Amino acid sequence: MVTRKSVKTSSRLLGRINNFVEAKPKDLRAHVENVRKDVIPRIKDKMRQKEKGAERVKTYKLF
Amino acid sequence: MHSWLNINSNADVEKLSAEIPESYNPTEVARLLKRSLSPEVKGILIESEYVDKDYRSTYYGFYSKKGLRYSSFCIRLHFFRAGVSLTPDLELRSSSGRLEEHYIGYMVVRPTPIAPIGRTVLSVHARANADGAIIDANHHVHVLGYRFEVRGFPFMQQHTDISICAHAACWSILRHYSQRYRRYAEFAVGDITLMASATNPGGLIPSRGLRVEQACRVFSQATLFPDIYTRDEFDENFYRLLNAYVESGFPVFGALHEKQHAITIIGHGKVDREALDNVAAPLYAWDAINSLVVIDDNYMPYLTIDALNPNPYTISDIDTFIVPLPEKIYFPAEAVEGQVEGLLAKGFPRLDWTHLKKPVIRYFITTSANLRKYIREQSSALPSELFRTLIEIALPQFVWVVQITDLEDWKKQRANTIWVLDATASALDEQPFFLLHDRKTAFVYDRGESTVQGWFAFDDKQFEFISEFRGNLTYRQ
Repeated sequence: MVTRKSVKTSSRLLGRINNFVEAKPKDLRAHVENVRKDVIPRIKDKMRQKEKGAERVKTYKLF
Repeated sequence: MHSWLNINSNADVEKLSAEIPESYNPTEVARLLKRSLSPEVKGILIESEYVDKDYRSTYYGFYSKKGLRYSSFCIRLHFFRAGVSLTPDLELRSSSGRLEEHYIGYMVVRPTPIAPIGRTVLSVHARANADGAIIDANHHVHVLGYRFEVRGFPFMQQHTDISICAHAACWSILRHYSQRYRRYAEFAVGDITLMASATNPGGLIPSRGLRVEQACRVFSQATLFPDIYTRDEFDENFYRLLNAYVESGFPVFGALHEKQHAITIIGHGKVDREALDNVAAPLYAWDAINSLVVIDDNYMPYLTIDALNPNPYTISDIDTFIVPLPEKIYFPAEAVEGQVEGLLAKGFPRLDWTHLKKPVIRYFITTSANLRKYIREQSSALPSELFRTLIEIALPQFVWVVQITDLEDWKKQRANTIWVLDATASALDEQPFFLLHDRKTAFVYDRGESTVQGWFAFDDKQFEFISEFRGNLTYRQ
């Protein structure tokens, strides 16, 4: 049987998980840097392209 | 007036000509039914002098003003499986099982002879060769004092004057929304024609075509949030994004500009589980889908189109789509792909998915209620703390779910992850996740209650696999 003990955190849900380890900013720093450098610019580019396309086709007529 | 027609073979639908007046073009009705009714249909109840709300919305605003006399009434055809008959005292009798189980749809026939098929909802069981997975909803029908229910997607032919294909596509999407979700109002086809106009023309007038922008205006006025995608700008993932929204249970308005035509995409054909063996990574489940199920006002509902057969057109003829989304979905499909591909390429601290040798990516939106129903059904396969977290974590109404599965498990319709992303996140959110996990550990971001993030290890068992999520569409495969 799993024994429950409270973990000190401001999340009531996660505080009830006995082996919960709260992330410190340094734990995620490298990951966030990667996302900023590689992921976000690509998403931003796609969003820009999407708007360009929507603008281009909005007057096309369908019958 | 009500009458009954026994259908022993599809040729019997030609007998409708004797039951339906010429002004309703029974020849065209019989032609369409003859080539598309499934052999399950064994009887048609013909209901004359039917008052159809959609036709009346056009009759009052247009047809009653014309020099040619149009009837204000429609005829409604109800389709039944074998074993049902109509007695002389107007009682429907079933020889086996409950009468309701034999009902498989209806079709309104309008007195608009060029295109006579009005509001129609057919079960996939009433349609020959219907296959795959489709978006549908329950529709209630009252006839002869009976109440029936049919599950399907709304269809009608364009009127060719006051409504054209794009109006019919908008109407079918909006009628689906009003049937499926209580918060959306019902719009008759006459309303939709007016909603497309920037100014009020003072009534219904013949359409000179509908622009993509006008279709968006119709959806916006119906309190949906249309997002436009074009193939030229997305190229390699255009159809994948389209499929992600269809897999999410959101019907998609498809534009075929070369053909100047509009359709509604409501599902996909069978998944070819052997198709990804020789595909280079990253693999997407879409790559194993060869056909789409569409509502096209020129054909009976649940038309299947594929990549190769040019008759009537191929998937690649769809060059633009509009997905009319419900409120509270701000994180677009392309951002999900960007985040997931980033995770698979660069990894995530303390999580390890190197055991997924050939990962197949499938992602879709669902409601948090639907997700939790799935989690409860799969509870025996889930580590207990993961189950508890997914059941209890504060979630918005809609979430993106990402199922990454090793190819061998995917072939068995299993999934190796239930990653949950916030559908209300901004597109450029650096951490849009609620939950990521591998076999032994989960990363949780309690975005709702506390903004606390962190990891926990599964202490009772590893996460191996669960059954693929199938809660958004109705599967017939």
